[in-house]
Amino acid sequence: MRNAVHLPYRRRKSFLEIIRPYLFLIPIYALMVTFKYIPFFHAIEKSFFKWNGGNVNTFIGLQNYVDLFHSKQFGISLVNCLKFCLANIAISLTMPLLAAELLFAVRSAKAQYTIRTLLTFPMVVPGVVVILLWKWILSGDSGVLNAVLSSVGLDSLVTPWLGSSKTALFSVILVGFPWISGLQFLLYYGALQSIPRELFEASRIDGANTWQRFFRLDLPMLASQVKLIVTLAIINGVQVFETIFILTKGGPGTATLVPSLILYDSAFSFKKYGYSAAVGVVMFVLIMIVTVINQKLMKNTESGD
Amino acid sequence: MKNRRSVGSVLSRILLLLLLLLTLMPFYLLLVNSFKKETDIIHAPFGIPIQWQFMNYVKAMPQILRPMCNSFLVTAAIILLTCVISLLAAYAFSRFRFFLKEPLYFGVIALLMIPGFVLLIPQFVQVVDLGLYDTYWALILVPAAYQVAMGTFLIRSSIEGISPSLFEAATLAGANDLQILRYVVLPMAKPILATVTIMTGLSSWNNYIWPLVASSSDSTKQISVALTALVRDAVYGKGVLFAGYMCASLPIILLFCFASKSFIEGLSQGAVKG
Amino acid sequence: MKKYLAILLAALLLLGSLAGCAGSAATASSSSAGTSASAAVPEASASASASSAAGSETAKDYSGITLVFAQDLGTDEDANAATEKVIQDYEDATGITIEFNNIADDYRTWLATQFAAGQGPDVYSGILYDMTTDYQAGYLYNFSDLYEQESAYDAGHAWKDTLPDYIRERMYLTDGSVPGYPTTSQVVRIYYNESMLKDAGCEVPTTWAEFMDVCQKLSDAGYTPFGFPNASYGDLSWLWFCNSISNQLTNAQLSAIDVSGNGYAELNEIVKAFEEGTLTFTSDQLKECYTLMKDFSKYWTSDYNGLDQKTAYDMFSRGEVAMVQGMSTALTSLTAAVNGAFEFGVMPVPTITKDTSEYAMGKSVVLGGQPDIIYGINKDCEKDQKKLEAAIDFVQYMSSPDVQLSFCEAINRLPLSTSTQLPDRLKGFVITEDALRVPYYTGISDEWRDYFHRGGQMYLEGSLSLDEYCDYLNESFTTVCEQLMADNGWSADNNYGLNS
Repeated sequence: MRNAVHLPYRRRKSFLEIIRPYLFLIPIYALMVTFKYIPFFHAIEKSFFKWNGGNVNTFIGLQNYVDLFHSKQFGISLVNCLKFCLANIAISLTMPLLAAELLFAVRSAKAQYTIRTLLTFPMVVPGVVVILLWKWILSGDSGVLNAVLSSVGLDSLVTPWLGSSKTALFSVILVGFPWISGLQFLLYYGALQSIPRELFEASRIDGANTWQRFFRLDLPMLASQVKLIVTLAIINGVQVFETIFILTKGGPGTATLVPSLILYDSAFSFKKYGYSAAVGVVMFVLIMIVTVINQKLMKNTESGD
Repeated sequence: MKNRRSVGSVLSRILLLLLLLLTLMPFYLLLVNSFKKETDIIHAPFGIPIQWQFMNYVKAMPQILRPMCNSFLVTAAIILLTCVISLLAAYAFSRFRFFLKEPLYFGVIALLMIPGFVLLIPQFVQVVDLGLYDTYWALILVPAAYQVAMGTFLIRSSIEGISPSLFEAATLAGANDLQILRYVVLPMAKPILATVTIMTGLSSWNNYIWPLVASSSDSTKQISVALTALVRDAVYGKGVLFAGYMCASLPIILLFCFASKSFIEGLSQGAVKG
Repeated sequence: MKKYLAILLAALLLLGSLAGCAGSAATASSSSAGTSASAAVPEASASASASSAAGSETAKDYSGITLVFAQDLGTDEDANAATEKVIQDYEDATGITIEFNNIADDYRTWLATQFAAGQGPDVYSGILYDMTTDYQAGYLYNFSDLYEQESAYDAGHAWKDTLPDYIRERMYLTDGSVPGYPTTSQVVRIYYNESMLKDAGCEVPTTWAEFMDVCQKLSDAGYTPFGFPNASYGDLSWLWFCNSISNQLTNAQLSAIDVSGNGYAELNEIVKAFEEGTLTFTSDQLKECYTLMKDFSKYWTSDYNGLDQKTAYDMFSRGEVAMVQGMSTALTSLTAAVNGAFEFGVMPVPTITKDTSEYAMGKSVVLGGQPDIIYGINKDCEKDQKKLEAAIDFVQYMSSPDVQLSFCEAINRLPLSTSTQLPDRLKGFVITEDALRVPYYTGISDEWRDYFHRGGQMYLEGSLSLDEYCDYLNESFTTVCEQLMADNGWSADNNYGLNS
């Protein structure tokens, strides 16, 4: 809003001026509506049906939703999902930021560039490979993690990480440690680099130490990135699928069961496509509500961005 | 100057090094194991190969070259399409006030909130109905339809950070929208465009489930699908798979190198201005 | 420096892609999965399959027809080479074009999506459970008539007669239709490390008591006795072991469940038994089954609830566990991975004897032993008579005794046809145990597998007591039965569909 061009006097807008913004939006909407929104409406439509992908296609109204809300498994999956989301937010606010700050503090610009490029290399490793690697690290008897723990004398901490319902969710969250190679790091680092030098000079002259500088200068300048990253952390956290699918498939028991897993299973394993669509719709509404709440909260905390 | 080398500085360097090593671990493992035989991978996954098995690459390369070409085309197209469309949309959202602006923006962002698997079958049915099964159109347009939402999300906040005085100056100089886009927005938005390029490129290159169902012939087969079907024997086993992954990651590394360059350039331009 | 590196990489890539794109025509046909018809002239080639094909179809000409054939063949080089050869021979002999889609991963997801849009493959294969579900969804052509007739590649008797009895019976659905023709059976065995057993002073066990004893000795000698994958129901160990043991202990109830008396409990018979109380998961016999398994679990790796089949195989190859459950097709890859480090053998699930349980029937029940790699034909092929004919011919070819033999030689795929001889190395996979008569845990529905497995995980780790687990099973099975009865229109009134 604040960047809309303010002309010194009002005049009636011409037709072309009125439709100008919409013209810019035609490409994106054409693409999204054709290939995403129309399918989404079909999916919503199907959520009111009982469909097995073939010959059974009957209208059952809200039955799928009723079953969903009565399902114990779905309730458990929502709780797990919440835990996962909170962990995701916590992680995205800490580790990548820490890495960005540490890198930023390095003196030589060349070294910064080298290390930054090195840190983005692991992004080329496909998610599947990373997850399989962690499966192996977390394995009970021959796993790297347990081996390391016993070699430093922490035998009491040795557990079957993915095999016990007590530690499974924690282990799934652990995957990807130290979590610094990714979009969040790039955004934080980019933002740090675009803070004008004069401000750093000013804070140094004022006698601020690193911590004070971090809280008074860096963080406020990073506010919009933080907002964006938290929003993405929520959106991605609720939809987490691949990690859990490859590592535990929701087990042991229901310890790592999440809604997206239920969505996948009911469609492709149990052939209950209508039910699956209903799960999807509920997940969508959930994410939307949480994101809107998050946006409102963030708007209130930022006074002068 | 020498006094500034406090304990904190040394500690932070050590910490950075540790994080760097931990982060590079998956990449190191991929690299090192792509030169081993199956039995060596199972017995000593962390070690440097005793015998460097180039056979893995010999077995993997012929199978993945064609899919890599295909993926290259598709990814390049998706990146281009996404950057252009997202830029246009983000420009509109950050520069104009118009009726239904926020709902329309929300309509774009809402796309990110739809769980992927919900759309898989309806999308596929849609594509088949449009007669686009097993075509590049399906492989490009469908993922792009998602990426543009993310792109707009990222670019909008970047454009909003550009000082309004620049826009005023340009308008007073008589520039129309396209010229403003080219001379004012584009240079300033380079860092975020580089980020969007990297993220879109990575996501398209590794996209798996959509190319799996939407394409079947050799002329459209994508690298991510080809890798899962990489034929290997019992002796070289996973080594061939890892060699395939290494080869497949080269173009992405290239993309990073080039995108980083403009990223850095853009940053230094932006940092000078207040 | 970075710049030069980038330029070098770019050059390499460009060269590589040029070579790839230019050579793709050549490489694509030799190494990729999409084969096309080469010679239309039928040759008297050396392979048995082609000669039997050439001999019986001098009139067959399918040139101009394209069949899309899909299978989850996997990434094994030998399997792919063998399959491509077999297909190539067929194409040469009949002039047809077979588009072979090897979907190595996410096969069922791919199939579901293709069918949902109305373009499923013309011919594809799968396990019995999946083919049955697909048939019931209306995707497949009914083979029941074909079974009564002769196959073009297996002359002299009705096509169904080449199948062993217990396999043939399983192929008929409750309404008498048949979803396809099976070509192999997964026989599951326990692979054991001979050196470890010898080191611990053990003999290969034949009874359950001996088996537990062996595990204890192995454990005392410092080895992990069994690598039991229990991460998801797809790892099948929990379901299969429980199937075998449950059947071994509940044989006395079989006649009460199997009202039709054909020696096998069909789905509706099981539902009827549960609804009427004949079958309940709180019965002493089943409780004993779960208790036995829980006792067994102390000999597993500590993270069994997170262990999957592939990792279990790896652990066996590395010598980290003494025993692992596996299928006959794992023989090749295990041999290569072990690479001569130790000798290993196979044994069936040990028999439970009266000294372990009063309910024991004294015979072991086979793990696996189900019809597998069942070829089915897309119902849409019925629209084009010539295409249907070609599809049927192709299926009959792929399941002919000669082709089954060639797969057996190449990749240890156990042939089903009673006329094929088993090579020595596969003698350990001959079924000597009793057939599985009541598929308690695998033959009901995927959701039931899921419930049973998840509950099993919690029971084994101690989150659920035995009684809680059994109650949970009864509860879940009630839900599953409701669903099944609603889907099939079964109820007490029509005797659960048994009267038709």
